[in-house]
Amino acid sequence: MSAAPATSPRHLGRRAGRVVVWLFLAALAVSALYPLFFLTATALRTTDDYRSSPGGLPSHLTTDNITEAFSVVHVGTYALNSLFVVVPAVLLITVLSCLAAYALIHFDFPLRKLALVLVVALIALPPTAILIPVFKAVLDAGLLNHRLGLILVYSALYLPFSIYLLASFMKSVPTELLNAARIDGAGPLRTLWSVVLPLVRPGLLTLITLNFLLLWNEFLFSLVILQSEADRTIMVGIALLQGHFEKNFGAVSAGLLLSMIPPLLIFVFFQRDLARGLTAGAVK
Amino acid sequence: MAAEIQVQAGPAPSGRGAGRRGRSLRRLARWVTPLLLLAPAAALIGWLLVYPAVEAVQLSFTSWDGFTEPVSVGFENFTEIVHDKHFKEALVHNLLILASLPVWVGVPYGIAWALNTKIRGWKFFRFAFFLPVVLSPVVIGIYYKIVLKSDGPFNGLLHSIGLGFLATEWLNSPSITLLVVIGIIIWATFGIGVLIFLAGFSSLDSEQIDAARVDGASGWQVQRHVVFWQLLPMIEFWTILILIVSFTALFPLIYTLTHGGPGFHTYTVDFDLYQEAFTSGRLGYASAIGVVLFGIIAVAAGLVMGILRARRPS
Repeated sequence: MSAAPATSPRHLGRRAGRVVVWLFLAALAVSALYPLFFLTATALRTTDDYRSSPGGLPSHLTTDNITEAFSVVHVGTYALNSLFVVVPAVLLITVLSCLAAYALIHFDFPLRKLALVLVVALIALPPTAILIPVFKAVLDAGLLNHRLGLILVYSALYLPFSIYLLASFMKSVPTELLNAARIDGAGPLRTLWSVVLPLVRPGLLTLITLNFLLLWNEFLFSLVILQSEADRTIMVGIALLQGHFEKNFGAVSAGLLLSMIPPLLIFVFFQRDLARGLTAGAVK
Repeated sequence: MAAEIQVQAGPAPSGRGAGRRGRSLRRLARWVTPLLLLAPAAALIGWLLVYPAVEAVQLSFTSWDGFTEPVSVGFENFTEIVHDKHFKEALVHNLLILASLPVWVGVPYGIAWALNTKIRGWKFFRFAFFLPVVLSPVVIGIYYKIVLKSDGPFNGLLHSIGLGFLATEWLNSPSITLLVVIGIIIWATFGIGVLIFLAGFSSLDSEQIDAARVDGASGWQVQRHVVFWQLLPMIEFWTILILIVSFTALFPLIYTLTHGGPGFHTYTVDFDLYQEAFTSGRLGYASAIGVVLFGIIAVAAGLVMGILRARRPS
């Protein structure tokens, strides 16, 4: 802005550096947002129109791709299948991790410290490494190809992190409040419901959005545990559509867009809550 | 000990001299509540997480097709892994992916630093960089499969800006496809790194920085000797996260983007594990791969923490 220092070579160099950094950030931002534009445009244009300029603006609009995504590709069914698994799993994780975190933070019992250490250790256990024995456990329980099997597996896989996250929020609830509730005659569950949970509401919101997103996007365990076509979840459904690719990018793009609706809603409305969850382990 | 805990968490002490037996009974009753609260989560974790982790080792010594009962084969699976060409190739690919670690850490660190200087549009950038974070690797894989086709938009872009000579078969060339995969993995995850480092930058100890400035440290020196060390815990956390992702979370992306190809040039260990188990029907062998995978990650994580901690200044 001011004229005098702007002419000094050092200042010019710094300015140029900033411009280069800014251009890099801008290019990266374009690449990050481009999928949204590209998939929307491709979903709304005819195949011939796509072939004429694959990445650009559409000139012949159509809704055929969207219709086809629902009628031929069955994305609607897949999305519902996903909801039937993800919603119960998220609810189960939320309830169980609330109870467990409450017990670990606000009560004392033998081996409490060990239980806390175990929770943290289990977060580091990579699910892929135990894919086969988990598959066997579900098979042995007669739950293979049943939604309940996947719901329980998802819950088990995501419980340790959920407990850890909620516990880190519950630590900040003052013990005096709990004691006051007890003196007033509230039982442990009543205290959890009316005293603790209202105070950790931001933590709960973070937990629910994060788990919903991760489970909605999950692929490997869904592929292995729900093998029948009628039960396929959305990510498995669209991933197994590779054959449709050569024929119609429009329908595939429409399917991808539909599968992105929950993540996009979270991206737009719950970004802050999600960010809190993702950085929880780093800062604490 | 019990008394302390009572003050902290237990019900208000009644003060009545109920005697030894009464007290121990009451203590038992106090333990019942938390154990009941913990029981459902513990049961589920025990059944589908802890027990499988133990059974993974047991299964790795068997031959199992998923239909009949597993048959014990001793160390056969492990001797086979040592000579398995595909496994070794996959492991090399994982290590090459991991070798991009400096970029993987440096790019988000640099971006977070730039955003932290409140560069013009930083809020928009922070918003935009988050989109890849919420996308499923399945979506990312299919998206890039379309975009990087030889007659797809990316090559179209290269042609239209006069770089047409660079256009190539991005996903179908033995020499560069793995590099493309690495680029996409970094693109898909850098947003999380930016978030983590931004959280770090915003919680810096400004007193130390001011003190360094007063002592005459240049901007770069402050970065190198003060800010960097304060952010080390975040670097360590991000590195461990990358380590786990690069060995165990690539499957959905590889499955949709390249399916391990061309040939076996983008096989990763987790993709190999899935193929052995559910394409070849060798679940015992796949379980052994899982055990080896876990061992590799544990050793690598130990090394990373050792290196980063050893370099911390006293």
